[in-house]
Amino acid sequence: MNQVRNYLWELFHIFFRHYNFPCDLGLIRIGNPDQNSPVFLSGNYTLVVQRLLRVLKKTGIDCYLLVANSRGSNVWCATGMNEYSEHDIVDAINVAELHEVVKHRKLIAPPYAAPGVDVRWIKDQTGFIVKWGPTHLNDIPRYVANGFQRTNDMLQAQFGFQDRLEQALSTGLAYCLTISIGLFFWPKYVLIVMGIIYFVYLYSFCFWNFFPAEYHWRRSLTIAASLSVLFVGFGYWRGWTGTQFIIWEAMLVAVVSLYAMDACGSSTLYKATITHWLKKGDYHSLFDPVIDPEMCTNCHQCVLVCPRDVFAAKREGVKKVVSVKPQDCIECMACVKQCYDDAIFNRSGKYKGDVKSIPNIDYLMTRDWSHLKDEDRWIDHPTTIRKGLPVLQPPPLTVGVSVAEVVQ
Amino acid sequence: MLMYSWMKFVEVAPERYDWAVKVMTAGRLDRIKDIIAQAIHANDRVLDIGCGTGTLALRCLRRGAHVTGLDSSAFMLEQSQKNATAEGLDHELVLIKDSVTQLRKHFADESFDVVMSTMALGEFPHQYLQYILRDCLRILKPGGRLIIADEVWPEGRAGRLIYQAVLALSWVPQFLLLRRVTYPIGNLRGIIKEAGFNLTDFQTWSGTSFQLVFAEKVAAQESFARQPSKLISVALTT
Repeated sequence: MNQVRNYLWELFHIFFRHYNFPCDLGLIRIGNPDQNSPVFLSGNYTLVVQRLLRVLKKTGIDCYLLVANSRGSNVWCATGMNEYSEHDIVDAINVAELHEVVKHRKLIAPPYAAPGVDVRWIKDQTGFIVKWGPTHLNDIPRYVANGFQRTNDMLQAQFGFQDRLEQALSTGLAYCLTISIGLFFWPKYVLIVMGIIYFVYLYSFCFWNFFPAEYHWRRSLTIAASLSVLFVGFGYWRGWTGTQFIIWEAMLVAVVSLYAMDACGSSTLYKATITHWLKKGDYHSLFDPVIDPEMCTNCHQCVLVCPRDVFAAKREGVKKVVSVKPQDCIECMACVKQCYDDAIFNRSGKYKGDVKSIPNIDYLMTRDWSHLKDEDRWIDHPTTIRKGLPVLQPPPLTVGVSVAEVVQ
Repeated sequence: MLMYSWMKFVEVAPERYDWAVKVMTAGRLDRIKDIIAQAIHANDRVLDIGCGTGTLALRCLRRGAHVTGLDSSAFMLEQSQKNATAEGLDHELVLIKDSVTQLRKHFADESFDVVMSTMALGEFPHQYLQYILRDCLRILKPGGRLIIADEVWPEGRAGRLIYQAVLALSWVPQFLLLRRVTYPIGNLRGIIKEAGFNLTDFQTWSGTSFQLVFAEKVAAQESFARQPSKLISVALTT
């Protein structure tokens, strides 16, 4: 009975994932933690907290979970809206009197909180050092087993089948609720439209990997075309008239466009603007990061928080961090927030502007970067992974030079 | 309850903030701020927690008080500064950007005559409020006053039912437009009393769903050592 109730609870929250459900704040004990047990940090979105508790329990270690106020939404959305900031974390530390609960001064935090949390300020105020954990909570057992060290895949933004399915179900519901008022007037048609919405979303998200990447609208067109073929078959079977077919085909195209525009921000893999998609037909972000080597102090914070391996550490010559894959950037702004040297410039001069947690973002994004044209040479430079982080590959040894050296 | 969501919504655009609050409360909050300001005397040392755009702080400054405003939002503080500059009072107003749980880091014990807060503490749960109010008690001088105005759960049963109904009705547009649910403070006066204050006066609006509470720090306080933190134990559901 309890099992069934939990199952229904989870199902409800999956469908309502787009809405805020705050849970209690405070320090939660998992197992039998003592003064030396690790402390994990989270927001107070109830579905994630329940899943986190389950995962942490599965690791078998004794630990604490510090639930700080993210106003009932997930940390990534909350932190960008300035609703999950260093202040909320300091409040949580103070109120839970964490200083007296544990001897160490380490918090294992979700890296998706990086776009809005000033970790240096937290350290100044409370002494607690924020250590970024894995991006995905399912990786926590592996992270713990690996001695609290991340491997490179734990840093990446992920969008696995379960996430995609849940995203389809919850987004579908949000749109169905929005048009549900029409049920009072044209119940039959609104129900059919709802069915189309759910069908398009489930189809596109579940078979995500089978469609080509969006480039000149290729992905959206494939989805629309394949579903149109299905419609033709269905229409033929049901004996639709030409007008009926045109009406439903137009509806299908409208829903696919809605899905395509929604994809500018509905996944963990892209952030683009609708205008950009309409003009160019892809989901490339506007932000195009480049690092000023004069200003970079090689602190690696940007490498630690980037969910797309945009940056790599340069170990030869002057040790700096360089931008190697700016085209993969999803404009989460975590690097910009974490860079205390303001060393990250924007090649495009444009940005979406949905991240509200960086007060001087206008200035940072539109600064003149003409002195950094030379830094383009690092784009697509080969990298390797060292201790989970991308590092520039050293230039290959040329045999001629070494022979010449030997002769000398 | 739409009030908090509305505020959250406009918080990202502080230049529209005062206008939005005025529309939302039909000018009521302005009247409440006038009532609070009337309780402030010249040369009082006043702390405004969650000062926002500084509308209350400015009212107190005009009465000749020494005002410190605290807010965690840089955007809001900037707006406060602008508003104060417009009236030529920017030299009088002290602004601090920090969390509300950090009061004791900035202020010595017994350093204020008045601590006040309007529409700021509502987003905090019980345990946080206890913590904040204990800090307020410390930084107030003996006989110092605490003034809090906020949206709360109504006290009478009928009021609660009506409020619940309004909440339920507003839930749909809120969810659709803002995707947010918010919860008002329950038992505000109880929490203030529990923190060790003496309640002196209170006024209510909208069927006790909006309260203005005046409380006082009793002259001779026994020591208020912090109790060890209570840990929430959560029964795992699976």
